[in-house]
Amino acid sequence: MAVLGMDKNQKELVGASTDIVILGVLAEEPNYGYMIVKRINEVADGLFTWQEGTVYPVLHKLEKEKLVRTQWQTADSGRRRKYYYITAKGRKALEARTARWNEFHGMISRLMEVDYA
Amino acid sequence: MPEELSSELEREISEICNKIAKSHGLSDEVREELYGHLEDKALAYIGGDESLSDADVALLVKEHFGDQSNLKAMLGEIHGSRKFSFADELTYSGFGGNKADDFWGVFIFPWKKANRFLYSAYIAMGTELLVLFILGTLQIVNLFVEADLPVSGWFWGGFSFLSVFMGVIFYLTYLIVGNKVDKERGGLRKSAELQDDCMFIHGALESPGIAQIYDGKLVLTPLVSDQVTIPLSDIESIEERHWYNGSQYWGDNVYFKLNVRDKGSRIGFAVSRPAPWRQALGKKWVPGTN
Repeated sequence: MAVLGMDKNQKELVGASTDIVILGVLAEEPNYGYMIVKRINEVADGLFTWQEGTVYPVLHKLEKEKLVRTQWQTADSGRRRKYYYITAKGRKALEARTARWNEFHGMISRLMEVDYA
Repeated sequence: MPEELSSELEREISEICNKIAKSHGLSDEVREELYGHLEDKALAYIGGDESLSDADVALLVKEHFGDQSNLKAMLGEIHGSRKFSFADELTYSGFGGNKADDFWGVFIFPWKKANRFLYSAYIAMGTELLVLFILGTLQIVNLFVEADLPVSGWFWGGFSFLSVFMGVIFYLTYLIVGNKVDKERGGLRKSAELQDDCMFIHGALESPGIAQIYDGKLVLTPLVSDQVTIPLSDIESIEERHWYNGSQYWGDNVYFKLNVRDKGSRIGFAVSRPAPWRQALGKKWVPGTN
């Protein structure tokens, strides 16, 4: 997934956690593509900005993996939009991936505590 | 948030979606999804619900301002430009102009990268052959008349070294000047009807540069000194020469000496492929020179 405003290492870090980010947003509430990207950018708080169109290949992949399901419905704007809902399988995947992420985060934190001086 | 997009915007968005979805044989559902996203985004910008980042603003400003290369060329025509320091001018006048002329006349342009090594090799080999010829002659004369002419090993070695040295100097000259011409060429207007590397000549000044014809004008951009723009209609006559200021223009190289209305005949340029320039400059030749 393409992001702007980051160096190569940061982009690789974000790219590896794209699924978790999107599943996490959908776990808050179902939504459609434009609003998903908007929510991600709000949470990112200026750290990076998505190249918005690239969210769709990820969403479609998650749908194929049955981690999300879709439904066309009328949005608040009155326009027809394709909403994404996280499935039970998706929630389990989110828990598992979040746990792995937390383990990784813990490992990094422990390493950072080491005095390299 | 506004209710609807203009038909122009709808058309633009549809085109984007068609390019992405249809060209890859994706379903109408995918196309509709993408369209919805772009529609929401456009409405949010128009309604002020979506703010512009600095990057967005820079993109818009740059896009609306126009093509930078063209603008640079247009401003250059009006204002000219002082591109180099006085020290640079001395350097380029010395190396790019006079030095080349002093040795072999003007055959060192166009300033293609391939020419640098080639011509340097020619210089070195040519000089070496000349040295060999001279010293060979001296050796033969020595044999017959025992004239004790200077043909020692040091003498031979010295001249051989000089040949190589001249080749290296030529290569460095060509490299420095050629890179500057490449850079200059990159900043010029891209849509010229005719363009060539040239030797720019204005009075006593000779400088490598680029000659262009576009919009009914001859534009000469020297490395040293300001760009000169001459409407073709102001060129009253042209002399075609194969020498200038004591230097011979070898091979196909030709110097076009221009007689410009109200400016006299102190300006001109030399190119290595004169045929298209003869055609482009029109029939203004001084009798006997072409």
